[in-house]
Amino acid sequence: MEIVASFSLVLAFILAVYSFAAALTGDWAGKERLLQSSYRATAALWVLVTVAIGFLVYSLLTDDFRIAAVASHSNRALPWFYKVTALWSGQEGSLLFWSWLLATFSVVAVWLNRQKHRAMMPYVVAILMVVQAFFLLLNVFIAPPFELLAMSLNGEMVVRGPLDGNGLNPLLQYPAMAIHPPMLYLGYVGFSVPFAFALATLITKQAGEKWIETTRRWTMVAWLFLSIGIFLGAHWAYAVLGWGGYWGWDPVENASLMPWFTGTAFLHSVMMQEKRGMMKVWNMVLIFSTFFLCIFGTFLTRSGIVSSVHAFAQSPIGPFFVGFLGAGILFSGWLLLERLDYLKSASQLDSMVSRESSFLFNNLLLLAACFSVLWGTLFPVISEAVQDVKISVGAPFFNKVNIPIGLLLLFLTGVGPLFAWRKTSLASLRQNFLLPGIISLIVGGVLFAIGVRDFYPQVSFILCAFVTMTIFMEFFRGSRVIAQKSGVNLLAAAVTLTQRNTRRYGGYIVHFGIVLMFIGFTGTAFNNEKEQEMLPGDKMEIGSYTLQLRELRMSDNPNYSVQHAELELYQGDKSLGILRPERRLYKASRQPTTEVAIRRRVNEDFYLVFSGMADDSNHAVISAHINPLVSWIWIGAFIYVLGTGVTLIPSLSAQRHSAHQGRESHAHKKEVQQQDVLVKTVS
Amino acid sequence: MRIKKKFSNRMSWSRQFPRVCTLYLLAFALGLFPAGSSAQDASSDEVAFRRVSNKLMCQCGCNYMVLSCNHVDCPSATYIRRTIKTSLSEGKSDEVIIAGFVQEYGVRVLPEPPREGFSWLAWIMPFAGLGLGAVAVSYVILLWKRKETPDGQSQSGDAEYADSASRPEPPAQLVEKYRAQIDEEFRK
Repeated sequence: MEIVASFSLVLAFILAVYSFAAALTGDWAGKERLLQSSYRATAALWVLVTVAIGFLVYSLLTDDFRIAAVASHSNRALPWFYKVTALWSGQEGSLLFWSWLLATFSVVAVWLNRQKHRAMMPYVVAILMVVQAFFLLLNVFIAPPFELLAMSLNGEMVVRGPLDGNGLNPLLQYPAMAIHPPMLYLGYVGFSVPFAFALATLITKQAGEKWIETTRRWTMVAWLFLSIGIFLGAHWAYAVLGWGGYWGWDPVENASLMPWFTGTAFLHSVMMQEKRGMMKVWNMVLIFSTFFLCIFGTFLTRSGIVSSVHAFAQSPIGPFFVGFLGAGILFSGWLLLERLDYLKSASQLDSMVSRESSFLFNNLLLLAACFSVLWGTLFPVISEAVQDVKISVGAPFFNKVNIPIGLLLLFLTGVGPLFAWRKTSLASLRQNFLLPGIISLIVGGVLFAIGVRDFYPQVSFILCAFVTMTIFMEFFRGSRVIAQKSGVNLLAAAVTLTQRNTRRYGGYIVHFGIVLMFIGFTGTAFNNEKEQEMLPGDKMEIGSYTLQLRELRMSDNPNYSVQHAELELYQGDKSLGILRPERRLYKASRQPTTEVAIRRRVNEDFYLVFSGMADDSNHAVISAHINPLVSWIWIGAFIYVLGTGVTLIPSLSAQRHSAHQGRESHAHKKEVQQQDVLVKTVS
Repeated sequence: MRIKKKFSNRMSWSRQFPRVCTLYLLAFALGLFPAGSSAQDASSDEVAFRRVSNKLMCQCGCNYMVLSCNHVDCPSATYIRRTIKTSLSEGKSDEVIIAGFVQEYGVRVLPEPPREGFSWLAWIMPFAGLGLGAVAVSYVILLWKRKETPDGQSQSGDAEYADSASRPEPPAQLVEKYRAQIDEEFRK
């Protein structure tokens, strides 16, 4: 069976090369049948990769430890759910998963667009197949997922696996972690489609906005998945890694953030091309950068070029990624320069105070944030190469550099959407910003009065209040008009308002989600932590809480053995409940982990870690954290996802317009038919 | 009258707004608001331990501060934490303790690139990038604002609006001529 799966991958690689060649030859020679064959090859390729990935999942579920990838990343006692997720925990499986997602996206993209964009599609397919062939190449030659284990028996090498596998990395045995990598991969792979359309647009010199219209939803969906992946990763770090935080500026975390920055910049600046025909070259640069940063992210996770707690699989695939990235960047850059004349944009600005200017600054800040993250991530490598000195670039550096940029972005989040296209009058500025300005200052004053004195938290809260007010007022103004006209209540009117322009109001919902997340980020400034060695009955005081260790006990299951600590939390004399942090020892991997206990509230989380046993083996080392406002990050993330979902729904007015157009075209067709009948009758 | 009153209220708000801002900023700068209570309640030893261990990177490869290293029984974090506690109990200052670790591990034990020599680049580049980007964006905005018209005259967007507003209406006889032509086409 493994031979069939391996052969499927080889065949899929050959098909990717064939599809690439057939698409280009078919277009150049004008042979429609060759083109159709190229499109069908993408579907056949999907079937083959599905067979391969299906077999690997089957092998994981049936504990086929003859296969090295299964023996390395799974074990018998692992719950079936985690056996499936072991697919992307290793190098081979994750590359295969990449290939399968890309194959799926390619089939869908071809299926939806082969009739609509006949001139562009051969090149779209060719580009997607180049990416596909690269990943399949890695799977076939560098990281084969179906490599068999062999051992010497009576002097002969025979295929035989161990009795049990090494097991899944314990840190990955967490529900959010099970869906975090697929989400990130969906984001990474999803950007391949807009990239392919953008490149095909340049090659075929199609009308400038066509690829944007076609790929807007692709880009939004890819961006949504990437965002969800980042949120789930942050949640995993918070709930599993046990250091009390959710973002450690680890190189692999950074790798997922960089395409998010450029993707977000693209989603904003693309509006300038749609509305004003501006920034055509820049949008190409952004989508290219986003795609290459996605590949770079995969490279960073898999190559081990930088040390990371997230680098779960490392192998010598680095040079291949560097080669692919280099060739791709060179080709895209050359093509972009070659087609500069064709990408001439409308470049006239009516006023400095306009939506266009705000988008330019928004792009600047997002790109500056991306650059600083990239620079900080790679600086240890650069430093070692240049001066042979190993240095570290940790969270303090990234916070110092990125907090001011983040706050400026937050400010633009409030200001930008309220600027009108072309020109914003002074009266409009006053009308839009007076009330939010006053309220945010009042908020700032109140916070100052209650002791929030640090500069960044103050500014952050003031800006959060300001942006919230601007968003609220936008909804309120529009809803009030609808409510007055149609006699419905304000809430129903707000729903109607959103339905009428889902992109705009969905965007506001996303911005509101980001505001809530900023409130959560700002809470970090007020964190409180304490660590204490405790015997049963001992108490620990932290903030307004008292913690008492009630008991320590052991338990066991087939996957891991557990050491439980049971602590009762008090505020004053009032008991708030029992918290049970754990220390686990996973049997297969012999790896110890901590399982935190969290009491979540909207104002603060009480976060408890059983760090270990003290040297005397009697005292438990308990680490307690009070993390204010963390819940707002997850609430904000939920609203952000909801808002993005809203932007993906067609607006009511657009639906009506297309329905109206449909009716008109139907009427027109009928008229033409009647005329045909008349002409035939007369003749 | 009511409109006038409403308008005058708005005017007064808009006049007052900059004053409120200025007063608020002054109060902020002078620290006139009463101080609140601090959330930190740990003992001074523990505060010192947290302060120092938050200025050192764990050397196990986790990329976290020594204080935050999550690896169970991490030999690096355990050793550094223990050394910090011992050094603090001996009365050593933060700087001396950190210098000791730098001597032992090199500058990689620090969580930030040192502000010296080549490492300065780490700090300069992000802000230089942002500054250069800001200059580039400002230049682009100015360039677009003063976009040359085909006949070579500099024209801003506002001027274009003014121009279109002041452009003379086409002659009435020309309009009539085109209308008649359209009617004729429709009759065919």
